[in-house]
Amino acid sequence: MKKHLMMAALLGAGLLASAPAGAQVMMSPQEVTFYTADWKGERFPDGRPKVSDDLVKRARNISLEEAWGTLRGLGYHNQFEADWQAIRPDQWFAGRALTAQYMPARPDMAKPLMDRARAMKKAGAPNIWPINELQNGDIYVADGYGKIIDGTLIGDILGNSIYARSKNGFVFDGGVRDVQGLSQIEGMNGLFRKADPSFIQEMQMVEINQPVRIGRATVLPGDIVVAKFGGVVFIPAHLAALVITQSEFIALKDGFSHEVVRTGEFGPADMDVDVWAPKVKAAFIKWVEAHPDRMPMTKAQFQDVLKRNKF
Amino acid sequence: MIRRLIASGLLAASVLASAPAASQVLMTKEQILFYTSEWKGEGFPDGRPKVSDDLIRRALPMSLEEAWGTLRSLGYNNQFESHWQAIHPDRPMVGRALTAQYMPNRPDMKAALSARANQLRGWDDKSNIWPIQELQNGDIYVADGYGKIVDGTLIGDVLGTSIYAKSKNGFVFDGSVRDVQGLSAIEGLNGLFREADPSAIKEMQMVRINGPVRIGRATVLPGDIVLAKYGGVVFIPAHLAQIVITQAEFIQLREVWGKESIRTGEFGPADIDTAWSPKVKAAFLKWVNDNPSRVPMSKAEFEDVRKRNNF
Repeated sequence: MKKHLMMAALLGAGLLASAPAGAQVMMSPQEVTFYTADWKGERFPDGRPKVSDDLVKRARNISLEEAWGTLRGLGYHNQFEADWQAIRPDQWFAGRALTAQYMPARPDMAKPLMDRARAMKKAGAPNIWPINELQNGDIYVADGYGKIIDGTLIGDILGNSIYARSKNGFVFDGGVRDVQGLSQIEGMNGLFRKADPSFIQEMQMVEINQPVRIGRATVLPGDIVVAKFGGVVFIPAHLAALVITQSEFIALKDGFSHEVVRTGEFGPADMDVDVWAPKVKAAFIKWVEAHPDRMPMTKAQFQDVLKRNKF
Repeated sequence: MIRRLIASGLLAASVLASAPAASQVLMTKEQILFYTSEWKGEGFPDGRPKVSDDLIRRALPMSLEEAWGTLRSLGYNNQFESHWQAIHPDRPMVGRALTAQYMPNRPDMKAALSARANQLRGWDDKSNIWPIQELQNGDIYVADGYGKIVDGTLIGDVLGTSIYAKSKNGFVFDGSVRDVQGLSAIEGLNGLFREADPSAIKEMQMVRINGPVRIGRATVLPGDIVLAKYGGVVFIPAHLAQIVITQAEFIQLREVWGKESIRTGEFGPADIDTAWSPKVKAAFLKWVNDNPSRVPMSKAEFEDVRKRNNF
């Protein structure tokens, strides 16, 4: 019986060694694709959806409320979270999510995860593994289950290394240490729950790029993260173009409305209604054509959004 | 380019279709063995460690403090959680953990997971039924419902009945239940939850059965021995169950004998409430030897625990 068990254990070890495509430490590209199957565009080698740089840049400017509203309209009710502190509260940031799940540590889990990480050539402590996977433009999104004391996922050294890899920032449901040092890293921003002088203890990073919960929201790898004014919205990659163009469209309409009410071309009664009169719509389209500098979309995207909004 | 993307999409789809051995919906046996590799004994077909029925029975009288203390001394600092309500607060409960992870719903994830669940087990898309279908006799259904109360009720009396029918045991939910009156009428069932609420489950998705889950301050692996009493719960890693339980039994034996020897006047409190002298130790060992009916352990287990305690 014992010999039998030992053989089974050896066989098990063999299976594990030959199957690094498991979910431990880091999701395989196939697993990432499983969760993000609605995305039909380009992907990173790790399987994450790669929304275009152009859309990511434009995402910075959309309003949280508009993104939230469009997502709700599409049945996505769990993509927003608030109650943050920020390294730079006055600056907005946007990027593609790389996710990491932390859990309270257990020695029995720590050992196989460390062995697996080493087999995957991942160096250093577990809280460094996600940082080493960051690509330019990524935002490091981690579920640190709101742990503050002994729950600081980074200080200024790892902050520097996040910025060196991503040229972007982070969103942590957890703590950070040395905000003064972090705020001196030119260009970096990040959301966290609270700062604490303690360092990370009794925490285990279990998996990179799995679905993570950040407060009320569920985040998948490759989601577009938009953070501003104390809130953050996580836009599923396959909805990014729709959500962003819809926000841009609403911003254009608002810009037009404010101008025509000021100039007296139309009154508030014309503008502050659910559906504009054909005359108002026509004036809007003419105004848009006259202001190409205010148009972030391509012509094709604008035509799509007009149709979507029954214009 | 598009054709290439479609081709790679098809390739990914076929990889998924031919690889049901992935972590979505159900952890595979290999994945469970990965996390619980320190367990060398018998296992369930799903890969979970199967601590013996005898040990589970003996775990029931153990005090939470003793279990907690032994685990701490072994470096396991994250195995306890409190702040519970119980269906029957006066009744202790013990069993093997079957774990489930819930997250805020996303339609894109829900579609992928429902398709996989249907492919694996023929289940429909009511994901809070999936873990219940996997319960074995003696299991405790441990679910991370991320503390959601309103619209976060993982079961009512119908699913409660079904949990009891499958497990003849109970549940530990970091979340809520509905219809506590109905649940309390299910003879034999017990369970811990955070709060009760009349609402029905909404906007929640069960993502994974038998993955590691976080229950408050604790990390739980499938097959852990769950011991719940007096408003607390301890999750004992399967490979430590024997050590933790025999240690508690040993302490209990010493206390029973110590009190008895003070009552009979064989020794005084100054002899007992200190490090025992060789004379006291010898008297204790004789008593153990003469009273086998009061010793829950086998002789071999007693010898082990005696050595462990330098006795």
